Amino acid sequence: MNTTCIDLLLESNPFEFSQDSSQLFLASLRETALKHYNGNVFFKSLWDKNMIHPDQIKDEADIKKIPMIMVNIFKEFELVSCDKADIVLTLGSSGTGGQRSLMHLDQGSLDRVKKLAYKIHEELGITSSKKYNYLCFTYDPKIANDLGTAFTDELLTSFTDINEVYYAIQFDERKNDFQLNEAGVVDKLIEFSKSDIPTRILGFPAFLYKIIIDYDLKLTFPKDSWLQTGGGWKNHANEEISKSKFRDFIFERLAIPKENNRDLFGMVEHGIPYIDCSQGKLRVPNYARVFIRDPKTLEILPYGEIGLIQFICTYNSSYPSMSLLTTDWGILKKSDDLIAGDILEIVGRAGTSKHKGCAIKAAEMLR
Amino acid sequence: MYLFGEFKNISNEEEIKDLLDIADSKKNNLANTPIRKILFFLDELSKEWQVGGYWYNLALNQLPNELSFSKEMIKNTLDLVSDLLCYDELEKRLLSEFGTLESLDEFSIHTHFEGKIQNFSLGKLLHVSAGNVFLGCIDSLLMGFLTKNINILKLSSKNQTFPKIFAESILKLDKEKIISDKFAILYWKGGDENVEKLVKNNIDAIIAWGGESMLESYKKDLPINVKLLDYGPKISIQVITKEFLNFNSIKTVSENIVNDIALWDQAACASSQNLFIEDGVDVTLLMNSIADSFNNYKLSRAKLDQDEYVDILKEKARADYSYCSTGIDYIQGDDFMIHFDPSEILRPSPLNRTLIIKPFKNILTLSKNLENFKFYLQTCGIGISRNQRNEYLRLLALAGIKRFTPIGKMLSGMSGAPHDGKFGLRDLVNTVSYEQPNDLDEFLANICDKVAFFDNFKGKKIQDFPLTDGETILLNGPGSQSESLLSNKDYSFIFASGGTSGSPKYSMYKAVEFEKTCKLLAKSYILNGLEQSDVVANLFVSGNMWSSFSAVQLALQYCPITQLPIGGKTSIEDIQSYFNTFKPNVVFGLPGMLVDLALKTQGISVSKVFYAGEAMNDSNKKLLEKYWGVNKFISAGYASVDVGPIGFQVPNGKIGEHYFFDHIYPEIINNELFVTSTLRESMPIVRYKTGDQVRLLEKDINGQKFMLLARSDKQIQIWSCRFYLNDIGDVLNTIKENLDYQVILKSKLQVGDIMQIFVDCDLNNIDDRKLLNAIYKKCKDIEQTISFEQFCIKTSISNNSFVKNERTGKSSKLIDLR
Repeated sequence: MNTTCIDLLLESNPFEFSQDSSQLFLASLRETALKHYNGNVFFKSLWDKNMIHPDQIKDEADIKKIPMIMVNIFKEFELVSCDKADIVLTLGSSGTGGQRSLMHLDQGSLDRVKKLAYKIHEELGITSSKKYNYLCFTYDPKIANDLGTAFTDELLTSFTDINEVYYAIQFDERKNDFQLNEAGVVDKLIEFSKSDIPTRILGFPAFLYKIIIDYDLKLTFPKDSWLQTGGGWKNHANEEISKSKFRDFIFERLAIPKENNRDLFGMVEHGIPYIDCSQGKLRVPNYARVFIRDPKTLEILPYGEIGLIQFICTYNSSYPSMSLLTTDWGILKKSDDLIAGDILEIVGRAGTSKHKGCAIKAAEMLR
Repeated sequence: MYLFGEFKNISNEEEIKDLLDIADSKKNNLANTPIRKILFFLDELSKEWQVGGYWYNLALNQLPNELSFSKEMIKNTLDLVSDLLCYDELEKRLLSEFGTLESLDEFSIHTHFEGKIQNFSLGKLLHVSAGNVFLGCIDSLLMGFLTKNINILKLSSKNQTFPKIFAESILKLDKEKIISDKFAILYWKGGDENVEKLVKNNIDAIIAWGGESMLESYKKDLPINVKLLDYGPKISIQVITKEFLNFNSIKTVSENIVNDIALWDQAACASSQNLFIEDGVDVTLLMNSIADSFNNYKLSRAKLDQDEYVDILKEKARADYSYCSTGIDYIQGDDFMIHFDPSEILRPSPLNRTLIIKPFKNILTLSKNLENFKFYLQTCGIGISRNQRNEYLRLLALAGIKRFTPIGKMLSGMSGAPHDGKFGLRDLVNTVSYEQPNDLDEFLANICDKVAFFDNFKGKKIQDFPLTDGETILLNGPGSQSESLLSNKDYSFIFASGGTSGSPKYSMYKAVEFEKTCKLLAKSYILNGLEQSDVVANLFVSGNMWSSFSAVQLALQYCPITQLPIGGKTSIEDIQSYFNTFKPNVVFGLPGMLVDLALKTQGISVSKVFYAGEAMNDSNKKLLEKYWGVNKFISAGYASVDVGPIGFQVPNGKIGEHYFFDHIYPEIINNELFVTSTLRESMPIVRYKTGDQVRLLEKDINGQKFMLLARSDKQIQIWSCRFYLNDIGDVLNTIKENLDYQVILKSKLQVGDIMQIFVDCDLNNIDDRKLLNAIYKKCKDIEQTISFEQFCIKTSISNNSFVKNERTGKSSKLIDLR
């Protein structure tokens, strides 16, 4: 099998930023873009309309010119760049806003997303050969095997040796729906906190926060226990507390060290995980590029300004989301420490303007 | 915050609770305020809000600091305030919904219902306003005032200034405290569950304008006794066909399309979000034309926030996707975007002048696709040909459209139109019925309350009320100095009668009374043989404030027939022509006039005659049978202008036999009929002298039967005219004082009725024509009814001996031999 540019990129250190790493990324970008250009009619139409061809991406400045597909398109239409028969896994987004994206992965893309995830976690000191108990605030992947978060959590558990995994969102046959097993979670938290084996808690921060509050838990987990959150506060936005307060809170209630409390920002349409370093800053690896854009002009905004986040990645050759304009507000900051790579701050969900009147908005009709 | 007449802040739930308690104490006061007083006040307020006035300018200066709308858009909206408040507009709204204003003030007659109804406010009304169109909350408040509710207006965070300025303008003008202390304006953050719970538990109804989440929030845990009137969320569309575009200028159509979108930047529920165009329309041409119209639109778009730009970006992304399949690119200007989306399925726009154009194959596919969104659909601006109108309107309405307007008029609704498929004011009242039949006691109590003439008869029995007659009406009815027989003149008809000699009498009917009168007549027509598919010529004489033509016309409207409103004074040639063309088989008219007509027309065939005004004597019958082939003669009812309908006949009844209508309370005094009509409250008819002699017969299934005998006065009824014997005497007196005379009325075959006047002296020197002119002058009815030539033929003046009663040997001044 020929080694491709993207394979070479994924061999490299995700947080090494140099002339060479840039060239590696650019080569992989041209390679992937060409696959989509030839494999997806809409992708080609968009690039043609913008009068740009993958071969024309020569330097970092050119990356800013490539057309973006906004995330809503992936929620509204099914897009794929490869032969459908080659798809080995389809993952769905959580559908918080009422619509779900379906991301299709061929074998190469699936292997690559797993690999890059491992590399990033490894570089940020999260992987381990030690054995851990896992409490996952997500769906049992055996049942919800098409859900991005379940896939992620399953993937994350593979980055260490495993003693036991407990999935908190379980299928309730009586209700014919998934339910958070609160009592089960409380029991497991107590049980794991008393174990000699350290614990890793994965999943939505809101769930854990609420259970600790509701059950007034104060536990002491073994040293080297971790909390790896992801997925944001979603429908519990009104209860959201700041990241630093949350780290303090978890340390106080569960004795999990702040440096082991890591948040992850990811989108099923994009696939690259943006993970907190030990200081709680989301890091942008060289496997991706992130721009912040003005929603009115789409101009790229300078560091420190809030705008819409655009993600660019190259690992996925089966799903044409390589240049994705999100509906999330974010800020990009320059690294101010030893880890190279920009720092991403997520500010919140965009396009949620408060309803002004009695004219309907799309989200209402979709309910 | 504005709290029932003062600007004051309230900060906690306890104070809000107190406020709601205060609201309770004001209900009765407002319920007692006449609706017209409220309308007059609002009309005064309308003047205060005229363009360029103090309040207008204040709002124009302050609103741009708060609202995102452009200043021109704000100005454009403020221009509407004065009209919104003016009397005519408000009255139109009330009449559209309630039919009368009266029903908001008192228990009043209803057209169909036998009892009475009054519309009472629900009580305390919470208005939850939307921030989209700042005038909306004022309109909502007006709905509350018009229905006499106590109003609590909950402001939107985005629209606080205008309601406060509006409240200030009311407070300053309202010295009498008509409405200024009947409403409050509050603000609390949407979703504040404690406040919302408190309000929900202490309010009678909530009128909520806005999105689904707001509505859900108010629906949640709403006590069962609180009525929720939800307006929104809604979506509106435009539909244009090829045929329509073939016959209309694309430039004008585009300008109208833009008008429905650009005004208030699509924030209103009636703003168009999707334009559906029939397959075959040149999309690119239309899009370019619409873009030109957007570019030329005089009002600029509001300042958008970042999230709104994101919503538009999403639409651009969709447009890129559409381009891939259609090759038609979106058009974006400084403040608009147009996207042709090939999917036929309705899809909400991100608003702010973002138009999504969609194709449709035909009305069947369009309506089928729309049906899935039935709940949300509101207005459809429609551009179709006349041929397409019925089918399009029917199918789109069945699919869920609640309102159609021409393209360009979606945002300028007609006053009094329903909203979201219902009449909104009706929802804000309890329509209370008073199912006490309007019997005599009830009627007498009511008129004593309302009519000055009967002020002194409160609590008295009918026997204690005064007998009334034509003179009573002349002196106290419409046109008299006191008009003390009238309640009020609103929405009424005034008819004239008895103008043959001296002053005519005028009778007033409320519109609803006249309607009821006509319905009774219609019932009797149908009972007596008016049938479906009859073609009816109304040959009563119209105009001159006479009632018969109008009454018959309206009554026939309630019958399943086709009517020809010809009128008795139409020329013979025209009548002949109408008969030849439409071939009526039924005729309504005065016997004398019908006979004249029968003699002068040819080839006419009529099977039924409904007559009134005078008796149908045998000679008239024979003439009509001979010339028109009439085989059925039916009385159109025993009625008079003063009283209204008194009696009706039944098929196969004897000549002269009638039944009293239910609303008639008859009294026979010296063989003469006096009636009280409970139908007539606006100008009560009480113990009224009819001038007719009747004999009461037995009661049967149809009610009280009676026989109409003769006139008890010396009234002469001939040629459809009514005048008195004395009128003839007065004329003769002008020739020679104390002249004795005798009048004989006869019927002659081929000729009709004749009146002979005999005098006891030699009048050879008297010019006949001069004498007849004197009669014309005295008896105007005759002049207006019978031409000089006709009159000459039928009148004979002679100095022959008077006819004497063979038995008594006495001669009577009036002998009716017909």
